Amino acid sequence: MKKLVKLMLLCLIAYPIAGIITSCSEEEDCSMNARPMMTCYLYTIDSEINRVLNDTLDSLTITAIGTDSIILNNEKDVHKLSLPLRYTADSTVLVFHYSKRPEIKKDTIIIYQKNTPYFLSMDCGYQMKQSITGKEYSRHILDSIHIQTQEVSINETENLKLFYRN
Amino acid sequence: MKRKISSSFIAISLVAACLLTGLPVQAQNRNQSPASQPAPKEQKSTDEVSFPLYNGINVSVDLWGIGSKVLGEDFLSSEVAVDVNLKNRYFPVVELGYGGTDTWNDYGTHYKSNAPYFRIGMNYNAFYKKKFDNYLFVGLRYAISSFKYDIEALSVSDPIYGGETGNPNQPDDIWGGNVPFDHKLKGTMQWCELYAGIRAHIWKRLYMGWGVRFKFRLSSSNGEYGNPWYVPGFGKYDSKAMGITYTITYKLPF
Repeated sequence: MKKLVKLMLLCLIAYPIAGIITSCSEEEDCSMNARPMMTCYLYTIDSEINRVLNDTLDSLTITAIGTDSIILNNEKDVHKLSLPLRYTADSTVLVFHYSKRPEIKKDTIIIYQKNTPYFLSMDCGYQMKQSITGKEYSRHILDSIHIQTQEVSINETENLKLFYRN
Repeated sequence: MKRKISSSFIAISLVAACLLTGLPVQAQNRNQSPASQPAPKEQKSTDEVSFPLYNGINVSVDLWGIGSKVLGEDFLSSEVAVDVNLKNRYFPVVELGYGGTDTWNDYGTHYKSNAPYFRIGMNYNAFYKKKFDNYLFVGLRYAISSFKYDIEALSVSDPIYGGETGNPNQPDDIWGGNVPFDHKLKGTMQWCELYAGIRAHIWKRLYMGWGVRFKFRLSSSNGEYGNPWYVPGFGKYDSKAMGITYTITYKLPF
């Protein structure tokens, strides 16, 4: 009987401590509520050896229709791009400026996406799930675009392959 | 909110500790021989008795969920459990409860959910050989809940210039604007629980006890627009959770 009493007392002391420890360790990981970015890599096709090679642009500025914000400002030696997609519309229009010289043409890329706002928790708030559904683009410098992964995430998974002329 | 949960835990624990240290120990002392009289050695063998297969049905009500809500927790839950005493050793148990929440957070999100939950499992009494009317349980449960949950982000409209902010928690910081969020969703969850607890005789056919539950999610399905924040019977939506029950039990007279 004494053992039972001791056990009860021990448990009575232990469980509030366990409760406090548990409640303190409930810190939520809210990294998922960051803005997803469409990740693009630049390539070129060497027609002589018929192989895909990594490509690098000497300079690139990206603007977007519908905002004054500059998405990418005169970035040098560009091989990888992380681009935001619009939350409140089902398409995003991006303009690629390769040079400040007017004789060098710009390319315009239209990305069609599906936006799904998603509730994570009361502490972490919301995330926007974005999925690429289509694409249109001009072909001044750009040759073609291939959609590699439709789901846009925060994990830098490659979404688009941008092929430039050799 | 964390601070609030911690302080609730401490407050509830203190209340429970006061009640439990007073009543069950007192109840046990009635069965105990006085400390001044050394117990005869053969007493131990007379404490251990064999029990018939059927030893009665117990009905328990959980008070922890109600008490924690009163003390400021976001969730309200209550449950009734029925167990059958078999050979004073095995206690098959069925638990039926109802949990809910109606909570606003500091950023204008309103979360509302109410639903029943169901558990089935077995307790094992580690003191099954003992004659006294107190129990030390370890057990296992399978639990399920199917629930609806409403999530609404407070939208503020401008009566003079028109327009409204759909969800101020999710602005598009490049293009501007935001998407309204007001969805009614459905979810289900199945989980298992490891249970450890005690039950002590307090008066006539009444018992009191508490238990700790470690809950592990087995599977879940969520709505298209969001995770549930609260799962009735489980607690905060996660892969694991911890729960406490504080029960008053009535042993049926048949």
